[in-house]
Amino acid sequence: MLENLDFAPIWLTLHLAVTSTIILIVLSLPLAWWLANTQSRCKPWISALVTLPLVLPPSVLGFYLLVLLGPQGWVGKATDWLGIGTLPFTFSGLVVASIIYSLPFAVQPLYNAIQNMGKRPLEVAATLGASFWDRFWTIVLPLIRPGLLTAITLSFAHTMGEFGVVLMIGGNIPGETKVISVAIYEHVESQAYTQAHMLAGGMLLFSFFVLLILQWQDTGQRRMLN
Amino acid sequence: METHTHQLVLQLHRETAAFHFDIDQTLTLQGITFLFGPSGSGKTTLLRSIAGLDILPGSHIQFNQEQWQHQRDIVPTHQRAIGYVFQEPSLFPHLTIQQNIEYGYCRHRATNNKITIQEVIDWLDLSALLTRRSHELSLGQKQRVAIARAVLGSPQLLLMDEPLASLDRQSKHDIMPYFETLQRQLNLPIIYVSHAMEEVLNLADQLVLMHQGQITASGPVNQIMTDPSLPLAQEEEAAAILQGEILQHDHHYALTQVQVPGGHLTVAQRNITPGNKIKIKLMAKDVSLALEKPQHSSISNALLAEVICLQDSTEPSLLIVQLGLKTLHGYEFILARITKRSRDLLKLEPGSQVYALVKSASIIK
Repeated sequence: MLENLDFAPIWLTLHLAVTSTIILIVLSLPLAWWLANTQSRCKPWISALVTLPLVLPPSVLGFYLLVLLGPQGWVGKATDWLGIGTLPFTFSGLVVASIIYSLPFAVQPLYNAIQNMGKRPLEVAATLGASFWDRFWTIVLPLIRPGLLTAITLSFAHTMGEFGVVLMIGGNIPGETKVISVAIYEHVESQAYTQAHMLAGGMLLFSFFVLLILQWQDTGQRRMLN
Repeated sequence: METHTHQLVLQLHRETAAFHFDIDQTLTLQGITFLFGPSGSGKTTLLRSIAGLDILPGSHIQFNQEQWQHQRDIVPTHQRAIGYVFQEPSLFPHLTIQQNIEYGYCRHRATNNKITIQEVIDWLDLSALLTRRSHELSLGQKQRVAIARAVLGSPQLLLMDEPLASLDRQSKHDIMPYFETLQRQLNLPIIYVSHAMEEVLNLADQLVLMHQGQITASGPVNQIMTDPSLPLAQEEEAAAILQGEILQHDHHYALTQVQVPGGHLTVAQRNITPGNKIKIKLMAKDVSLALEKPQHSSISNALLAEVICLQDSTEPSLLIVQLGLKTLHGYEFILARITKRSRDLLKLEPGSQVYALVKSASIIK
């Protein structure tokens, strides 16, 4: 049975999820930090913009990304001029789309964790002689760890499961943009229910265990801090 | 004990709708300096500015030779040689107590650590707590850890923002002796924000009064407390703090005789060895005046004093009298509250020699 399974979409999906998650966390930390500490009037605007992918139909997001990143779009023209070429229907295009699509899932838990921590531990550490990066490694990271793990798992799982955006901006190129969700769709289209079952069942189990791990983490964390 | 004085130059001016700050003062720090005033007077903002946690633009802050802020030239908090104890203990929840108190020690900015971790653990009785985490400790214990942590950062100036305010009465009472130990052992200048008179009486060496973003008076604690033109002398609880020395104990009557400027006081017995220096609290309402030493009276404490000045009180019938007790170097001041009628009967005026009859006095440490 397993020999019928095409593993390429699975590896591609994992590759996409790992790449996007790493970039997402690096981008989201400063963004969440800024949102938690700023008094700027732009904050509601930026907040709304970051949350937008949560409520927007993926096809809408995919459509605008396609327009924007395509040969006629601003970003497309820019990437073309830089010699990168246009991003739609490439793996890089998928990464960019995934990052935007999963942004709220990374920013929100980090934002909550940073707000929860408050400024006081950092003030204490500063009065004890800890520099900015010292405070970041020894105070911020340990104290926002639960939020950070939630952000990592959620963005990873969310990227694994995306479909609409991928279809719009990536299409269905084997080894390049054909991820699991697209492969399932294709199997169903061609009545190959066995293969569809294997991929879909795998996704189901994966997603369930991710959420289960998050729950365990949460209770463990509560026990430590209370 | 050798005592050093330190200079803290403060020039802070800030004017906004919600906020008014106007300070231009050089404070001489010695022992524990209290920033005292009603809430909203700017005490905490001033303390946070000294630490660099709040930055008021255009300020000038200098501690001894170190310039911490001059206009836009700002030394960040972690490079100022300070320790800071917040109102809430604010221990790091992810670290053990031992790791908490070592946090500053490992990052010591001073060239040499004068004190060891073990010394501080002993002074503050922390040895039983070291392996625990902050949520297992009582508030009083946590605050002791926070003080140890701040002290071990090798500060040259220790800032404390109402460190006892969040504690219950008993914990407060338990923790106060530790401040004396620290002060005695470290000889470190401390700036202590508070609006609790009890803490001033017990701990203050210097007193800085704040009101609406301004420093209204500063000086040795007794000088500020007994100045009739300042608000503290007008309060119901107005008091003077005298330095005294234990002379002897009368075990039969459970009394202790204390030498103070102007004579002896007999007070309720406290088990302190004769010869020790102590502080005595004399409340203005417990002091009355006589022209002669009374022979047959239940009040046995009479100190020879000179009337320095008489000041109207907020109560129309009463006067606040500042009295000087002669010492080797000049005067030590106390307060008495008498009626205007008594003033006229005794014909009191500045310079009059009187006996200050002390109904009750207590040793505070």
